[in-house]
Amino acid sequence: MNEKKKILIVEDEVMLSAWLKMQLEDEGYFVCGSFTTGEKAIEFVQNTKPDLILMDINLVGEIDGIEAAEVINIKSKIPIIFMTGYADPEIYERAQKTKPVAYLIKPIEIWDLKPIFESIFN
Amino acid sequence: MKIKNKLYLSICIIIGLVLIIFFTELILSNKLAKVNRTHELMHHIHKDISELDIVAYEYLVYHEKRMKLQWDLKYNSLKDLIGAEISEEEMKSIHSDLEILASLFSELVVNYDKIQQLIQNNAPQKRIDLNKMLDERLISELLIKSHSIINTTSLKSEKAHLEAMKLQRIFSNTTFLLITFLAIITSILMVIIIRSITKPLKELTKGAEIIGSGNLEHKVKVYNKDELGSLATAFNKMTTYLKEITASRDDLNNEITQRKVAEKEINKKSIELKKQFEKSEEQRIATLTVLSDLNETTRNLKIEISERELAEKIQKVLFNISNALNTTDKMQDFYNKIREFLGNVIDTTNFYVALYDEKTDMISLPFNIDEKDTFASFPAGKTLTKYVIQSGKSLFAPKQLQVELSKQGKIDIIGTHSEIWIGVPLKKENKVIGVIVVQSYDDPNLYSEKDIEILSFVSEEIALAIKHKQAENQIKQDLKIQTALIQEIYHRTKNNMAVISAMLSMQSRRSENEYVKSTFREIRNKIQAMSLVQQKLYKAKDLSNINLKDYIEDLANLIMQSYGKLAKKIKMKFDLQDVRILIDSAVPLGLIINELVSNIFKHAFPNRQEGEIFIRLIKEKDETISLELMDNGIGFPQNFDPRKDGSMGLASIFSIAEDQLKGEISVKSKNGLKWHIKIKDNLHKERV
Repeated sequence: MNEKKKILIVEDEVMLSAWLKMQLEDEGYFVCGSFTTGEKAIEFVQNTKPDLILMDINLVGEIDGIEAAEVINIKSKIPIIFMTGYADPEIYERAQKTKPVAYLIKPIEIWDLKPIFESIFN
Repeated sequence: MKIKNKLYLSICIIIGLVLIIFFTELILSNKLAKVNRTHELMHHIHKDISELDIVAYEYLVYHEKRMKLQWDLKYNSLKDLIGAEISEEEMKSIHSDLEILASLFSELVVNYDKIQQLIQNNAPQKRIDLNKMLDERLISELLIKSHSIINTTSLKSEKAHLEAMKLQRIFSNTTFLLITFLAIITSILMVIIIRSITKPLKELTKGAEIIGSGNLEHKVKVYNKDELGSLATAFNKMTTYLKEITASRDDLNNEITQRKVAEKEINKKSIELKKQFEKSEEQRIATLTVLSDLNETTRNLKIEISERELAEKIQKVLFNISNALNTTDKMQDFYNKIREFLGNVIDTTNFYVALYDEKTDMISLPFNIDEKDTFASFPAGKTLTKYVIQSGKSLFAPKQLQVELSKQGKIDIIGTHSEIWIGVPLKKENKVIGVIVVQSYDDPNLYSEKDIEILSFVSEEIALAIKHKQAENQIKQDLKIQTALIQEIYHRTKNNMAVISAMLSMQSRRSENEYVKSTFREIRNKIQAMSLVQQKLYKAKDLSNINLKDYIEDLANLIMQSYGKLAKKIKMKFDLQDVRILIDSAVPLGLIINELVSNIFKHAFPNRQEGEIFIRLIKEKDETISLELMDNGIGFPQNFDPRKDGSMGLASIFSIAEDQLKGEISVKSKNGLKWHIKIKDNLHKERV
């Protein structure tokens, strides 16, 4: 098997991100980082290049997930999957401008992610 | 026919006759002249030929050359005379005879010369004799011819003479006859005309004499429609008129006599009447007094009616305004309607609604229609508007009063100075919040103090509308906040459940015991079933009920996914109607479905064989929600009573369905399990 794919999780609910990390690792991915704010994620991406970012839109920091994605997009082309508890059309439209690979509504289970991951990495 | 026309006609007839006579005479005289000419010509020819004959004789006797020349001369003149008239048939024969005569004469001359020559030349006697014989014959022929011509001409001359005589006679006869005829016709015409004039004239004269003698009944006979006829008609008319005049004159005379008698009578009576009049005058004055009272009453009634009509009109306007308050949503529409309705009883050319903000001491105009000024807001300062707000009383301010108030320093005049200004305070719970104003810039008499009453009512209505509007805005604001809060609660609940679920999942991983693991999974699924309701509610528009169809589909799929490999060969089929269900029923029903579907994955297909789950959802006519859940698995073991023998989870669904939801639940175990649940979603009232 090739080198493990590096996944970055940006999620303000720690328990959920821990559970997600556990499941992803079961599936053979490497969770290279897990942050609760967009700012930290941006900082992290400057040094390390993950293969994919799971981005919550509602974050605890100053900026939300979409704004973080915009900043990340400027410098690199890392595929981003948005996760949100809101199916708000305005937010959805804003998010679409950053051209994410997917826009998922919570709760998110591993079986929602697996087919998307497979299509990106194969 | 009129006499004038008769005369003209007669003259025409006479002239016509004269012309006819003239032409007849002309023709006859022409003919006569022609005959006379012929006669003369014949006579002339006769004379000439006779002379020619004599010359010929002389020549025959003397044989002188002079005579031959004379003959030739005469012959030529005669020939010319005849030649001029050659056209006539008779002349032609005379002419040809004359030519023969000439040739005979010339032959005779030639022959004589020949004889002379023969004699001189001593020609044989025989020859001379022969020529002499010829000579004699020629002479005799000449004589015969000349006599024949003479006879002919003399005959013709005689004939022409006779004809001339005859014509002369005819001519004179005809002339006589025609003139006689003319005379007769003229006489007849004259007689007719004279008669037609004299007869009516006589009649008229007679009529005039009769009428003159006093018989006004007499009528003149009208003969013709001519001038005299008109005269007669006019005469008759005159008579009639005369008669009338005479009659009226007689009547007049009669009347004068009668009146004189009556006058005396009247004089007598008038004295009596005077007395009576004096009496009745007193009565009349009494009546007049009554009448004037009556008039006064009528006038009062009229005023009352017009006042009542105005009152009714105002009532209608006020009713409309009051009605508008309930039918219009926007304040601006409401103000516009007020202006429109109010315009029926008061001039609203200049109309504004002013609201006072105590904190900033500003006046804003939410509605302002004005010919001159277009303020949206202005400092309250010492304006008339502020004056009304401070005093809390209506103000009827003609220009004079405004100037007075200004002099007293109570107000400052801002904007265009109006001729008349009425302001009525807007009161909300006894506090003045603004003013409504009407004003006129050109007509100081446009309003009366009565108008204040109407405006007061309008001000109450506007105050009420403002109050309503504010309350409505408050309610809308509150509702918005509440909605957001509820959404936030749903969101948080869902998130919390997700965290709990995540924690349980992570805990379960620590244990290697399959029983512990499956217990954790079951708890997780139950949490998920509840969480899904929150999620659906968060998305739902009215925050109180969810679509059961979507919920069942999503829930069943979630459970299936949680069983991973165990559920791989099992297919799910749905036949679900759109049914909305309240949150209070959705959560328990979700727990039942979770339990039943989980059991299918766990127990129905123990050998991991292929299987099918079928879920049907129907809302029946009596609002009963019917849920059927079937599988084609192994079913219950024999003599298995799910109520007693089942797990705690299975036992709990009976009590949820029957005790909590007050529904029915039944199960049949034949070719798998068939669960049937019936509930009524009317246990709880809608909350939002």
